[in-house]
Amino acid sequence: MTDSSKSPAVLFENVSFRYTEQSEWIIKDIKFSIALGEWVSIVGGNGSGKSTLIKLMNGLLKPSLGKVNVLGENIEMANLLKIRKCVGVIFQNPDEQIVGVTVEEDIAFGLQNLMLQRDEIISRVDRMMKLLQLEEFRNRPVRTLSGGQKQLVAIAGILAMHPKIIVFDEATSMLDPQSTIHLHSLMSDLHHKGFTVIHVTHHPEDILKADRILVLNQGRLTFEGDVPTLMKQPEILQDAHTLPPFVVRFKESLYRRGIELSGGCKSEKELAKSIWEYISAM
Amino acid sequence: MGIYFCDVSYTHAKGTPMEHRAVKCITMSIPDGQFMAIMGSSGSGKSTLGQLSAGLLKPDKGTVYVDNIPINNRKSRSQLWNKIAYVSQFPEHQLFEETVFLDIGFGLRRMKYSDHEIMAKVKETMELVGLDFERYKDRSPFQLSGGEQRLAALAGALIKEPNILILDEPTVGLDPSARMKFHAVLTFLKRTRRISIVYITHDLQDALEHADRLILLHHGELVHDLKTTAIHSVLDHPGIPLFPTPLLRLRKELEVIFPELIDSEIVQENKLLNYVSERILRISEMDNE
Amino acid sequence: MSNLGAFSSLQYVAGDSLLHRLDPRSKYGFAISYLVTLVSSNSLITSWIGMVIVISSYLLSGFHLLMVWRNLRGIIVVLFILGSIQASLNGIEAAALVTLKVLSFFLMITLMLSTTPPEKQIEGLRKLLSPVRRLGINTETFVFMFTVAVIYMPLLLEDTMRIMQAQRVRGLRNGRWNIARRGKDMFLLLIPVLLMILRRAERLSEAMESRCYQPGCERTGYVQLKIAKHDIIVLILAILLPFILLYPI
Repeated sequence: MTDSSKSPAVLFENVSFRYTEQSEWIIKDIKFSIALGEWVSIVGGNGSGKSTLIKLMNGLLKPSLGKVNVLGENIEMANLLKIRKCVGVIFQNPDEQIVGVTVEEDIAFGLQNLMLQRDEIISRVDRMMKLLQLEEFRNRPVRTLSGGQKQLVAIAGILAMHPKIIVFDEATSMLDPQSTIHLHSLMSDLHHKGFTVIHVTHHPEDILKADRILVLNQGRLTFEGDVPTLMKQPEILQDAHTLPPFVVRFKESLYRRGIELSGGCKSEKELAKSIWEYISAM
Repeated sequence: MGIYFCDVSYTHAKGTPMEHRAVKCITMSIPDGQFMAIMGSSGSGKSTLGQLSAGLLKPDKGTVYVDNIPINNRKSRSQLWNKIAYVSQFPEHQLFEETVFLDIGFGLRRMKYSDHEIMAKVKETMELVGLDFERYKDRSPFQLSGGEQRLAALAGALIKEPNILILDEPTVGLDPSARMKFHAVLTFLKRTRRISIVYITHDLQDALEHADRLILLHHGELVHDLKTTAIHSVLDHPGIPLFPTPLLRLRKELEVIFPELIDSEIVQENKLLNYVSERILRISEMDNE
Repeated sequence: MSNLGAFSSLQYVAGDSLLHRLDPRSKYGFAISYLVTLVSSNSLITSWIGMVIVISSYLLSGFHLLMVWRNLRGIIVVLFILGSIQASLNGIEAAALVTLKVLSFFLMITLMLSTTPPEKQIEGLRKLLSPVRRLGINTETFVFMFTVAVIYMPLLLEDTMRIMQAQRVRGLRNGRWNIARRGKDMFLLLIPVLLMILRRAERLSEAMESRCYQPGCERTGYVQLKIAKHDIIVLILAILLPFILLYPI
């Protein structure tokens, strides 16, 4: 990788995309960069182009205009494998990314494609199963597992390839709350270990953990910045067919009724404290 | 027109190695006009329960009664088919006609309405769910987005003017604006039609916003049956996969702050908002006096 | 939810019998030799012996004999049709012969499939096809397609059942006796099923490519097969089988 320690993890330079000359633009002139080790949330409603953006990041799609740069390199045929090894993607539907008959095989899939030695594959698979507590499912067919477990298997398969960037493309939207919480804590762990985490979502509560947020609205980037800045302009989210987190909505609604709270609202505790401070100051 | 479950059990994949008991000995009744939410983790049997209510599955043991008629034979099920509407988790499975117009009107064509009546009714139902008639009537159902497909499936169900509507995880994968549209339709239905709604979901806040009553399933058994306003009584139970929503967490924090307890019956966003702003304004009025 | 009906006979059932431990290649070899023997013989006695062989193999597998009955149910209609055709054309004895042969072979296949985990079946197939590879034909893609089918067939069947159910609740009756209406219903069923297959295929290929899959390229093998003593015995039996059964009788 050319000087990858200094280059951003992902860099989009004036990227636009459409499927054919006659179809509509799905991504319109998007420019942003994601640094290594960041947790970035990409938010937007259905049809905003979020999934297309992800496919541009790992070479599944080629930009019609502009350039996509990953870890210092432009995506081309020659380095496609390298890029895909470094950018792991967990997709939304647990049933649509099963690539092996058993759990063991599914995790080994990517490693087999990378032509690693069999011993290396076996040791990595064992390690991943231990890490994600999947050992008891070693020989079970993947399709017999629950949704949350299937996503864990997919994550194991991705982590086994030693990526630098992990993308979660609405990976929890089809899971029940328990699995969702488990996956979120896994994402936090990965972030603490130094992985670059890109979380694509339209769930309002998910953006509070991010370092930075990108808001997509019909193919355009309408916001790029950190959470507090975004919370001061909640209309951006509403226009993008999504909502701000509950606490932000609540604070905003109180504001519209003439109650202007100061203080943060990153959590329910903070909001309650702000309300108390407001009352005490009256 | 209520649904009554009498000691109902159902096993999936009977006689194969993948056999598993989805629903175990459930007895409960859903009175006419009630909005009931069924919750539970994956595999708890909630979808199965919905399918049993719709008559899609026949119980292995026990009987399901709809309007006091047991629906365990084909004849009674076909008699009731236009009174019970079922919207599946995967709307793309339920849509099959060439255009949205034909698909929504399908139920009526079977009931021998005239073309003119069908056109009027389809238009009315599409407006009800928020699908603009002119824009969508000639489009193929498979070209619609996930949210639009759900609304189309809902329209196809509502056009029969059912007494019972069963919705299986209707908001999964919908973005917040599509979700709000869907909720608006439900609110409207609650207000204007006498219809029993069975709402299967794992989103607690969705359930709290609309349902009167909440049923919790765990491994196929009915473990809790409560009014939604009484939710705080079960949140702390161990082993129950119910997690407090941001609203409930805020309410808990506010209970610490405010001198008297916050009315623990508030579970809806609007109501909490009104309550808090009223208290604050009242305090400021008291200060001013 | 996992109600596969007739197809459940083709599913792997875990166990630790002799048959489970055999290498898939020796099982394939035996099955092929069995088929060849059955097809080449015209004597009723041979066919009966074939049937006895397969039933005793079931006993070797540690499965309950009830499984034989359940697997039978999957094919009973086909057998009935075949038998009737033969009976009307060539008489009762020919009908009995055909029925026995088809039944024995079907039971042998389901036994093989039930005692071999899919990943081993596929690896066995890959190894079996390796002489063809030396001719320059790319068998990797074919074997991989097979893998995908094994993974996704049950899911697709489940989806099809769900679609049928969803359509039934909307009032689409899959009328059994009215051929014309059944044809139309089948057609209406086909559209969402095809769309679903296409969508799954697209998403799957995206997932595979994202994990560095390149169609037709070399991949490190993961599943390993080992030939043991009992496999050699089975292979010898496989070679001897036609001689034992065909020549004397």
